[in-house]
Amino acid sequence: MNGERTYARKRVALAGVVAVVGQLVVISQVPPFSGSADIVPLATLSIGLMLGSLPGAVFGFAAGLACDLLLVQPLGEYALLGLGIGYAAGRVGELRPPATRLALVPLGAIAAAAATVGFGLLQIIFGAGASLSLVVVQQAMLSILWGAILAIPVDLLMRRVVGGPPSVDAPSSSRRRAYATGGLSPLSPGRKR
Amino acid sequence: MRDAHIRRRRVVLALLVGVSLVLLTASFGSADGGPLHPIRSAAMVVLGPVESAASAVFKPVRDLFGWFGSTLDAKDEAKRLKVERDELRTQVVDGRAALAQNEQLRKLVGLGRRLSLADYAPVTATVIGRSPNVWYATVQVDHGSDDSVKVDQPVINGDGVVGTVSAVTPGTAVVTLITDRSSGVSSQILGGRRDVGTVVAADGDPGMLSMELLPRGADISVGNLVVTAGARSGPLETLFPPGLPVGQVSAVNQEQLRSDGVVSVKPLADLSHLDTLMILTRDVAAARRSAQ
Repeated sequence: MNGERTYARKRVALAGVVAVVGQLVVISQVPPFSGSADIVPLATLSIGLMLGSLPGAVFGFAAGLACDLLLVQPLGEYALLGLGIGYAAGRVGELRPPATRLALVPLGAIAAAAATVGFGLLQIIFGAGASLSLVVVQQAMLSILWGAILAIPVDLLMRRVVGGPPSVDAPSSSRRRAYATGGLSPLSPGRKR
Repeated sequence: MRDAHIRRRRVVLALLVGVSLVLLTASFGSADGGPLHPIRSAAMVVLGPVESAASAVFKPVRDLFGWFGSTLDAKDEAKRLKVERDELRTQVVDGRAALAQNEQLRKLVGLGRRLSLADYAPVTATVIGRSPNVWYATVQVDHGSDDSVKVDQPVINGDGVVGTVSAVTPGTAVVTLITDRSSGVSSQILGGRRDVGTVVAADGDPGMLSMELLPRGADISVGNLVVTAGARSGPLETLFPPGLPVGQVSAVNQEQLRSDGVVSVKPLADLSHLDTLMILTRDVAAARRSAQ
């Protein structure tokens, strides 16, 4: 049992590496996405929906901290946002799991919006001199749009890496709400019999 | 069990939030990273090579996306440049046309000054149509009876005689070129004995002229200039002022010259590319009276 959990945690860690590295070396440097698309919140959303609130929060925190470190941003900024996004996504997955894959589109937009707006808020709260302008608003809207567009592909990628259920479109009868099972995710300790 | 799990979750979340806030406070609190600088440096040392390796691995992917982006950009650029090229081409054509027109007008003004054509009340007209077949050598111009243009008035351009007005409407006129079979211009050879004859359309060569009715023993050689003589064949008053260039002797067959009094003449005006013309609206007699 412990072996399975360790293996699952390794897969989740690998998903984090894929998301962070993919964002830094591909998405950030490819013309149509560069500067506006961010797949880390989308990957966090996917992990949260798939595994639950705690793994989602931990994944978001770790991925965000890695981004903070590699992008030489203020440490903890992205980590805190990732933590929030992962936890919220996990709670959505636990309480009201998406019935269809298309639900990922608005959820992706919300995750991207949360990341974009959250960054702005943190900048303002910590007095980093951020100012709101039309260009910033346009960039934020573009980020949200990319979030909506990339949510499904990123979810498919994360499911493939983690080895979770292939699709959220699986028959509802075969799924049980996590909070009803007593176990919040595949990473949670199994019920003692 | 479930309570314990929820408690554990809350503890972990609180811990992570706390760590985040501590990191944020430390980061924003010091300009150069402060106590977190070594952590960041260590992370960069560890993760830097990973990032570099991943960057090298994914370079083909970036290049592929970059190629698509560059191709799209290049297509847009090509489209924009085509539009720009077409605009510039139009401007060049307009410019060249304006230059050609300018040159013709300069020639016309020069010819007018040289021959004192102001007494003939010249009207400058632009060619707006041309006979589409070889049977009729005519062009249509944009001035007519409203501008005092009348039938039989002589028409010239900067190079010399072009023809005569053969039909008039209020706004347009038809000019019959000197290469038309119905034309005849009393002309004179410059040089030698200044022999006089009549320039008519050449047989079998639509663009060429013949000078006929030359006296026997005329002294003519290739290259002699042919100008209007100031007198028309027949009893009527001359149409063309004297001295207007008509053409240049292009071939002289001495036997034919002796027997028929004919030489070949090439018109000086390029009758196949007419653009700006001058119609002399006052006849020679009136011009003479005006000059006196």
